[in-house]
Amino acid sequence: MGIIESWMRRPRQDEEKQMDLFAAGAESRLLQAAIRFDDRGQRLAAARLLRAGTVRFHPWPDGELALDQLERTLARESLHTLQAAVESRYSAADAARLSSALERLGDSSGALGWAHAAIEEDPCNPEGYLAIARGYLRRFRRDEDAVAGLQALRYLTKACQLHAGHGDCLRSLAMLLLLLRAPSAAAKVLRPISRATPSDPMVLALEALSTEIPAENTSNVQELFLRWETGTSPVHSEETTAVIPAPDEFSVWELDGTRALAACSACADQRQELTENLSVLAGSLTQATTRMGLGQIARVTARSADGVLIGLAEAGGVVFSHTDRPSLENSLSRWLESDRGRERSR
Amino acid sequence: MKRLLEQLNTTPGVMGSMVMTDDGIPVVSLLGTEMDEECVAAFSSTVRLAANRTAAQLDNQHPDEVIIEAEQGNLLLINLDGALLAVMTHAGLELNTGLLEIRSVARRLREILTIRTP
Repeated sequence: MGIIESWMRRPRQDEEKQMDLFAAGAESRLLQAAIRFDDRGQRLAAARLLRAGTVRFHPWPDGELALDQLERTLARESLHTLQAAVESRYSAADAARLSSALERLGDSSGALGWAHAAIEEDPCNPEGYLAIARGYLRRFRRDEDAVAGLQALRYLTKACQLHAGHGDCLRSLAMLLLLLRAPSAAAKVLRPISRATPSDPMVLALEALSTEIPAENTSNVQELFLRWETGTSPVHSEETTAVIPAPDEFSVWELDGTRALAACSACADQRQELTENLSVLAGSLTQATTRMGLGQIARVTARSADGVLIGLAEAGGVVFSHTDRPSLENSLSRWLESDRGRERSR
Repeated sequence: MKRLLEQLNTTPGVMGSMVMTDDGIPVVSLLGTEMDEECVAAFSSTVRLAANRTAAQLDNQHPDEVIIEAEQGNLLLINLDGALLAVMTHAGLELNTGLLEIRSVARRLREILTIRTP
């Protein structure tokens, strides 16, 4: 790198000051800086700073409160203009902006109605999806509600697919990933922003958090959600994996209560990616049935034209078995419920 | 689509149903008041994604149907080629006979979606 380039890359004084706001224990300084922005009438800059701060110092109730008040003020100030815009020159972007403002003012049904109207008006415009995602993301951050987090992820993914490189979509997605303690994934998402504007508050929050949170060892967002919810991550070790005697046409994997691979049949595929996917499936099933009010998971059957996967819940874990011959589904099921049971009690 | 779901919901044992996009975004929902639409959409989509990823590695394709049996009810996820039909049923539902009706509705929903997608 040349001297001029390295000089250009050096953070300027105001950038350094901004970086200091994200140092450990700098919550009150960041809050003061946001207040100063607000006093100067730079409310959007203040909100952006506080949003990044609430991620950097999460959980930070004072920051959440200040951000809530600021966003409400912004929403109140813009509401009349947005309503007028929707009435005069209706567009998906206007409807989405009105939706966001209503959501901030507590009118959830109105907000959802306008967001859906925005999506209906132009399904390829990311703004409607983003408006819905923002509401869910706020709920996830404030209430630590997994359903809100999953919904935020769905809508953000959709919005990012529709407009790759959309700044607000990327910032929101990075925010979600950082809340899930996934700095590597967040860094990837923020790369286009960090190149263009290295002093963006969300980029600075990410940089500060990266020094404190170890890089995640998975790129599976569902795994990140499960880790976030349970506070534990499964450790799959080939050394501790026992062998399950099984007919050659069946592959069997047993996952324990921590979703780690405990045993598998001799012919079962033990690639790390497959083990992780089975582990995520076990965790998602357990989480889903209880959260949907269906009680504990008993069994799962996944049928495709070329195979059948059956999972049976037992002793806190799940035993999965697969055959690539759909005609053997009944044999597989019988083996799992009887022979496999005898093997276990051996 | 709504009419088909209404018809499906009259099947004995069926508690509610919904159609969502592949991304997990609800399209039509007839779940009944006691069920949380957001929750069903979020977790159906999560389970479907996890099952898809696993099956893609085992069978090189996504499953046509995923049937989840739990203590107090079942959740059936049927692939609609670009969308997903989620059906919640009582635990006692006879899955073999109930599935026939559900598959038949899924077939008709798939036709509607095929017509709508140029």
